[in-house]
Amino acid sequence: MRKKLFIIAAVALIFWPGNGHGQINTTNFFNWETIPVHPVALSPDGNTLAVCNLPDNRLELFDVTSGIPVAKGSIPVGLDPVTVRFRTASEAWVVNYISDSVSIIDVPSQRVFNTLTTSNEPSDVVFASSPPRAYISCGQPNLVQVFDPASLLLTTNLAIDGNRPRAMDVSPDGSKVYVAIFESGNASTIIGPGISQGLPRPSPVNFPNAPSLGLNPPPNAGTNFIPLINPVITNPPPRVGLIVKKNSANRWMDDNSGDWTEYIRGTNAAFTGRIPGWDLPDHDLAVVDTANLSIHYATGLMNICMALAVNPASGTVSVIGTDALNNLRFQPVLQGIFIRVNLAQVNPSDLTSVVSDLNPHLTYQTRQVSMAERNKSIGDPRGIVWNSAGTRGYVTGLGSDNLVIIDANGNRVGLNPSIDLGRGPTGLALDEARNRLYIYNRFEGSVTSVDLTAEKVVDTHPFFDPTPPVINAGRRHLYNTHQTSGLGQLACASCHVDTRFDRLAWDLGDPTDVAKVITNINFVFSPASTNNFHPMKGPMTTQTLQDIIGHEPFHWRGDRDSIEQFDSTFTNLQAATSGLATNEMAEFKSFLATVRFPPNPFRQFDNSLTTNLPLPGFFALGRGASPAGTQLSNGNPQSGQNLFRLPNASIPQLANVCTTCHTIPTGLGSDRQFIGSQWVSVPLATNSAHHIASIELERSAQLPFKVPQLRNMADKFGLDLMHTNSRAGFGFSHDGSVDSLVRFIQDGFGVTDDQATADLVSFVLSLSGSGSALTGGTVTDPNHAPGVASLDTPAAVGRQITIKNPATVPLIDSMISLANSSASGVDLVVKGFKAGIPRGWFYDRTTGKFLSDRQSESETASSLRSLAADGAEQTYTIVPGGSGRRLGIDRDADGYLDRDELDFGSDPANPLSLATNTPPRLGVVPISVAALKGHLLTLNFTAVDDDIPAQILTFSLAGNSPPGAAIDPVSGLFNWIPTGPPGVLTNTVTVVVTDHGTPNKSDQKTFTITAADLGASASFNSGGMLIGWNSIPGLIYRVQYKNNLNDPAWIDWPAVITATNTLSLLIDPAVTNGSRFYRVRALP
Amino acid sequence: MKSRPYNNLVLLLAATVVVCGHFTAQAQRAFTLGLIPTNRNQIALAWKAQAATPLGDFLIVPTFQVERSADLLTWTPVGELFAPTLNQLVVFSDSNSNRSFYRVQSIINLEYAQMDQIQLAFGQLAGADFFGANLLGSSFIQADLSGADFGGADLRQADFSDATVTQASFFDALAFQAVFAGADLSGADASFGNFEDADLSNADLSGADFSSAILTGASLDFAIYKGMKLDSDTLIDPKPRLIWQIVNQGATNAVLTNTDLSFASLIGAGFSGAKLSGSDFSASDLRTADLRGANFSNANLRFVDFRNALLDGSTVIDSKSRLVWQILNQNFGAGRDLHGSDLSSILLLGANLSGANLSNTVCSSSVFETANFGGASLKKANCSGCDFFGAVLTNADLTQAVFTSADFTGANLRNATTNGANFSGAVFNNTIMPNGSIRNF
Repeated sequence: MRKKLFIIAAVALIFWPGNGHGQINTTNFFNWETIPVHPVALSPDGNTLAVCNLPDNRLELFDVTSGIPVAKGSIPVGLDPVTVRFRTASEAWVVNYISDSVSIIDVPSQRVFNTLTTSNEPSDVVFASSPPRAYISCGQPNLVQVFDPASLLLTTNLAIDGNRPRAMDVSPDGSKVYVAIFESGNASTIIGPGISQGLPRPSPVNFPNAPSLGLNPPPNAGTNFIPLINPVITNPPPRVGLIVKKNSANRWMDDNSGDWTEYIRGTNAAFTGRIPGWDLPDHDLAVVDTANLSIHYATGLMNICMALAVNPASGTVSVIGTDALNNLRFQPVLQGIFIRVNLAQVNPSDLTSVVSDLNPHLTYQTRQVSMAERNKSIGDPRGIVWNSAGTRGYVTGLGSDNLVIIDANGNRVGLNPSIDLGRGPTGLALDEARNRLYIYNRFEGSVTSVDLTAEKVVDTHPFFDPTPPVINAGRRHLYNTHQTSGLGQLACASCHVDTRFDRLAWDLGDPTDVAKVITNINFVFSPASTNNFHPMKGPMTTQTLQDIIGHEPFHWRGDRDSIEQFDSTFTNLQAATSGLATNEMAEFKSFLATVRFPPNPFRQFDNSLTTNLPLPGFFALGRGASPAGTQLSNGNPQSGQNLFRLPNASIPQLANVCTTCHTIPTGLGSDRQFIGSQWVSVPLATNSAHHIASIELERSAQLPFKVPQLRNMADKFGLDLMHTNSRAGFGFSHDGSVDSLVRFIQDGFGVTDDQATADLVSFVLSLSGSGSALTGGTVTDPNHAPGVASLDTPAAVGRQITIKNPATVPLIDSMISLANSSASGVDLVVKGFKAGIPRGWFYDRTTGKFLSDRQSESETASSLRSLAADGAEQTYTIVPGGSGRRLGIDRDADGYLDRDELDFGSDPANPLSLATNTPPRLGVVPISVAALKGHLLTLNFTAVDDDIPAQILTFSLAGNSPPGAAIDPVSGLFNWIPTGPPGVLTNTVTVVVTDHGTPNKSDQKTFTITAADLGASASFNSGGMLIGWNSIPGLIYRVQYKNNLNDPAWIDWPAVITATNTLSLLIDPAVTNGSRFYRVRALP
Repeated sequence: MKSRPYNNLVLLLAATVVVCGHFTAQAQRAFTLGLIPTNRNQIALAWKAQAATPLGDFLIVPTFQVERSADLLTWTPVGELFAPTLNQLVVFSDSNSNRSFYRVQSIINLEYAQMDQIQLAFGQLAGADFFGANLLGSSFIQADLSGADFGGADLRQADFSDATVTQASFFDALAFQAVFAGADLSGADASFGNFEDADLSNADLSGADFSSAILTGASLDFAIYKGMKLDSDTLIDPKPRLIWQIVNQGATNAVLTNTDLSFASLIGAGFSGAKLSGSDFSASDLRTADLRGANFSNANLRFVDFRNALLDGSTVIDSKSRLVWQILNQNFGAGRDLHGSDLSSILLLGANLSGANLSNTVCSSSVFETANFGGASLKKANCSGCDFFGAVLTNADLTQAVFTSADFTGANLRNATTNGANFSGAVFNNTIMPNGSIRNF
């Protein structure tokens, strides 16, 4: 029984929730689809393993002295912790991606004693320099922040010339800090039309003397297309842009050996909107000299630099990630091979590098291999570590759910092609003393231990992962490279990295396909009737998958009605053996529907629009008063919103221009049509697809385009055609050929007012975040259609502060004020201590008090603060509205508060473990049992108990039981020999089972035992002597006889008789004429 | 596409050939070149750097390169490139014992310049290199830009009104909503340029190359298409494309009934035998056009310029238009009795109507610029709204004629009889009045 209960508990940890116990869902769990960076660290003494439990916003601590992680603590930190590093043996720093903070933890006491606020999207932290400095990479502003770890003061910000600096490591001597640039690009860029007020400017691709010979779309194989254009397509392909890539000789080449260097950086650069000398350095790895903070870069590694590690023996910097072949065109050409999983070994002295393929078993000559071969592949690599000798490197594959081993040269080695891990393995820590490798499995909440001698998994330790099943079920369809590709190395997430994008453009046209007739589209301005979706669509930048469901149709052109129409992408592009089954697509869709935009760094704490937003990196074009190339003045997003949606006499070009297409709060087109006097929703199409408006614009070659959303504009910065050094190869618009929002506004609409431009830019940057700061449309306003809902996050979410004394803190007051408003979309939680015990609180706006993790215990703001002290620090965190109770006081959302559960003995991190004693339940008990006097009656009673942890159950009999009756308290085995005078006796028995809770709970059931004598009779009939007796079904009877009573022994009837009824009969054919004596016995 | 030559600048300065002696040569951009042989083996050139743009404009001072030749065929740069400031005296000396010729290039190199919204009107900018420059909204009114290079430049809303841009390059230029009204773009390379919604009215596009260019929405009224190059990739509205076809390919025997050909420059077009009934030629220029055998029945021929057009008896045309043609081309007007005729809404530029009897004619709204009405009778004629710019009306009888809102700018009315004539609203500007006075109001 206990064993059975234990098994149930273990299963629940891994596969919770089931059976409706848990209440965690997307109303109290917010998914930003954050992927860890360095989530596992081993303490300097090698005894403690720290793991970022990202979805639970905790740092899990394990004792690994046995070589198997044993949980020893769980510390709440900020939102979406992605990195943990030990600064000292007793101090760990945890980087919180959504909170923009670092939780500084005293490991022995398992408490956060300080919180460091960082810039946006902190990703990794390393420690180097003398005096010591903490280097923290921050993704969105492209910074490495340098802090004094003692004072926690910022010493400087290092601007990284690359998009999203993320993973970091330090040279063995501490003189260098290495920073991998996550979205580094791959030295590919676009020759495109850019933006213009009217028709697009003729592209150089059309020039007869250009490398394309004026053919547009240009052939990709000499003067031919591979594959050939489908002859049934009658409409000519649209004239499109062209992707070119810089080769090792610094020449900008297309996929048909066309050399476009003169058009990219030479004398003809103006034809592509560039200036002579323009370049795309393709910085992949930043090297910070810790002595003077100078920065140098390694280039040409790959386009997504996911993780890195320094080989401690050679000092070589190993960067792992993926490289895109977006310089090749057309889906049939790219099918299954468009991503390589690479290892770059960078020489730290001269930053030269050797790049090798981590999947050497793939030739890329075939688009599909067997499942066994696919399973050898690694995809979406996210973690790397070297042994101290530098002879073995270990690399995890987030998408391939495996571990591969490499030698110093990057060759795959090991006893097995790969080692299967849990779902979504990411960071890893090497425990050479115990010959162990520990890996965090992001998508299932566990740590896997690998024995490095046997190269086998020896343990997988699950911990609480509150991720709702709707996410877990569908996530695999995005990431899993083995299941969704032909070679096992790529998946949807290869381009839609972390559900976002790769900051590249691809030409995924298919010359063999047919044009798709435009039907059922909600046009703002309709295109020509013949302008169908041609299959050779030209380069299109990868779009984010954040908050796309419900905002159909998809693709830049809106040529896919719903996510279901991407089923063919799995086979046609990814070369998977099959698309998703209907239920799998439903899982995928449901998962995508959970992914939301993170907090907007350009909003104010209360989610309002500022009036003065600096716009670093935005330059005037010279159209207005500011000279070209000068820094754009600060923008006023509030004014920008007015310009965005209202006519302005001084800027007539913008009268109703923006909101004609872009609705608030997403920027998407409306999914309504103005009919009569109001906006009317367009009926949903198949698969509940919406009808976000599309538009035909002259500037887009008169092709219809879906009105795109505007919530990730900040993610698209980088392309700069005005300066010689561009950080990215692609920017805005469908093909990425517009380098800045300034150009989009000024050249797209003829605006020359620089301040108005700055205001508009600042507003667009501030769009994500919804809320009352934005003024949307109404159903009756013909100029402002109601917008569709936005799945985003208030700006304050994640904000933290740690206090050590009861003093009033303005930020806490602001936090309380914000949480007081139900419209703010945020909650406030506090983690701290009371009477030396870790506690949690949740601000209850209905009472204005902090509810504690003990029922009916609350604090006022001041009484709570009064608990703060050294050693009893309190950390206040703004969390998404609806998640506060769970994150503050009821971790598993099972309705029983965390401290109550601990007090009670139940598990606050298990929704099946409740802080209440559930009574045990007896199994089946008969209503009545027949017994034979003098004969032992045994009955086996069972019981179950749903409590976690399992309860000890004890059986007993109530006081009405007949004398002599007994039950084994552990096994539940009942036994009794009825006795008494002749005749039928009826006895009542009550069985009781009791748990060991306090107070204990029990169950009891009563039944009757009818005890009778064994009465037999005999008579002759035509077949012999008929012997009959009263029997108890199931009992075994033995009939014996003597032919003479004086015979010395009774003779057994040849066979025993098992009673099947209450009357048993036997015929003795031998007795036809004479006498014989019988007796009947019940066998024990 | 034209492969853009690298730094291939047009030589602006005529060669100044000096072997010895001392003289001054006049050069473009208003600088004077002085040459001083300091001894037999050395020569010095000196000139003062002048602005290529007038005072008030964006200041452009050219750079200079001296070149030397022994045969006037092969020129070799000598010395450095001079980049003087305004009015700086530039002195160049050369040690050379051989007989040589010298010339100085005046170079304006503004490739990729950021020059939005600047003034360069009336500039002497021939051969200037504006390749890839940002010139949005800039003004080049009446500038000399012959041979200039605007390849790949941003010229949106720039104003080239009446500018000379012959042989200039607008290859792949972005000239959305730019103004070229009255500009001379003859021989220009405008291929792959974007001239959408540009104003090219009255522009001379003869010989200009607009292959693969965008002219959608452009105003091309009276533009001269002769020799202009379009191709199948040129985006242009149907009407101007048709006019371009007519001008360059002819319309002999063509069926163009009920076609809009108004406000078009159709000089020299071949319409012989063409079916043009019901078509609209309002204000079009049919000078030297071959209209023989053409059928203009019910065509709208108001204000058509028939000067030197070819008509014959087989031309089907309304009597008024034939009369206009006769007046213009057969001196049919002088001394002719045309009283009571309908001469309204016609164009009689420079026509000779001296001594003609035009009494009681209806001439309203017609254009009589530089026409000769000397001694003619316009008694009781209705000339309201007419254009008499530069016309001669000496000794004309204007008794009781109606000239309301007529324009007499530069006209000569000396000794004209104006008894009872109605001049209300008429314009007199530099007009010689009947009494010989000059009037301006």
